Amino acid sequence: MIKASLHKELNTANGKGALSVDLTLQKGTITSLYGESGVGKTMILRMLAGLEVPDRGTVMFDEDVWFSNSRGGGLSVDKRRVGFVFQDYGLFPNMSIEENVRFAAAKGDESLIHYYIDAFGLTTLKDRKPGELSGGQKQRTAIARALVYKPKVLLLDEPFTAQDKKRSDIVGRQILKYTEENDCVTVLVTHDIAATLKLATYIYSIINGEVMSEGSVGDVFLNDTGSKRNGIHGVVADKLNHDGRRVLLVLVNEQMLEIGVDQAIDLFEIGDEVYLKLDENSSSFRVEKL
Amino acid sequence: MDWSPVLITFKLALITTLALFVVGVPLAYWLSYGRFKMKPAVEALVTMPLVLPPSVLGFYLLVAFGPKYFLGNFLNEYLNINLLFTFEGLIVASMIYSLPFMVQPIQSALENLPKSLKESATLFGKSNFTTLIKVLLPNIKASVLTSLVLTFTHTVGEFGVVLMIGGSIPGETKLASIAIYEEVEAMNYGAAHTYSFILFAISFTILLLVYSLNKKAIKVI
Repeated sequence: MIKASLHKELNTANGKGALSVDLTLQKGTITSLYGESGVGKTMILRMLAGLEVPDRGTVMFDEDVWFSNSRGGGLSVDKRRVGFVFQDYGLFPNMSIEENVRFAAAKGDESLIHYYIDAFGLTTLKDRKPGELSGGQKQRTAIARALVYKPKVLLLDEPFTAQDKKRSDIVGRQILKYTEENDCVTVLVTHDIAATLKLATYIYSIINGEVMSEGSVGDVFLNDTGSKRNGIHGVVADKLNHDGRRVLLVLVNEQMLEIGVDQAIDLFEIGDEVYLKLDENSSSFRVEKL
Repeated sequence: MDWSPVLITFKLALITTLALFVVGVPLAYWLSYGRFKMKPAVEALVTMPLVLPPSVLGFYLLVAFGPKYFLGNFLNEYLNINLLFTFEGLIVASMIYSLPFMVQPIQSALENLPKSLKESATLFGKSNFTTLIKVLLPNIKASVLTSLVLTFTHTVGEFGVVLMIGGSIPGETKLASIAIYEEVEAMNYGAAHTYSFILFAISFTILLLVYSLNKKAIKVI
């Protein structure tokens, strides 16, 4: 288990702000950090990994001190055994896909390398360099590389943004499988509410650098009238139709969710009460009027 | 025609380039990723040979390597090394004179690489040395080539510093650039032209090869 208390002054695109969060991250489960861009989610991952130093706070992994400004010292980045999937993937341009994955693997882990390359649909691309791949393929390579490392802690920064629904599901299942089988502490930063609902056991909803609410999916996203089975109850706050992508902004339990939908959004009016129903097979929402 | 000035010039350029590569890459890495208070001062010192007149640098090196002062005295007394008017002295002076040509392109390229490359390698438990050799340098090959070529050609063209440190001892410290100067003073324009043309032709050929191999290689500092 990771217990972290992180405090840091931020200079973001939205101006100056402070990040101040207390997190408890359980082993064998996926915890989602949910919130809009610029609230400090990526910074939290970077501080957990040791890539950024908090102004003050602590990071404990079980009884081990990873960071403590009061006790001093801590564990260096290379000793933490953290798998990190960066938003820009962090793939090495000079290496092929297979070489990138092999770079993270321990000697003798050949079968594991081939397992993840195969599982993520990269077998026919394994000799290509990252510059010859699509965003989705690069992203899957980065996730495969992180999993091959057999991390104790897996930090994923928007790992589904470049994936289509089918691939997103495959990747999600592999991440969940690894997490459960290896008792890994996995933290998922995403805008993707569907992925959060499908994978995460615990959610921290972060607004303006602070945890606004936390708990299970039910605690954070479902109000009294809803349940995960029946759908999430909310109110349409806005509808957007840009670049051919139809998006409903739905206010759920004081949080604004951005829901990409396949349906015609003309059917909805601002102020309509709706249920968001998650399609278990496709990781997408169906929105129904109340 | 005495070929020794040409041979000494290219021997000096080759040794200086190789020695500076060994020193310059770790220095560029340190300046790119290190966080320390004196960093601006170190960067200014590394860049100084770019803006300083070669005679100024040559003068201070002459004083420093001389037996009257600490460094020269120490080297002479305890290590039996004399850097004045010797080929070894030329190497040290050339390394200082060409230092920014090796360090700056590599430092700039490292700073322009995405942070996540180095961070990924570190997260996977790799040492700084492994990260440098396997991840960072292979991804800045063009800039490394630029550094090597600039250092080599800049050393070939040295005059002021090497004249003050090495003088003009035939077969030892008399470089092609010094030979040209002396031939002109003696009104031997034919010999001066031969030396000049050899330097011109070899430098041009090196640059042409590099441009042909890698159009991105040469970047003006």
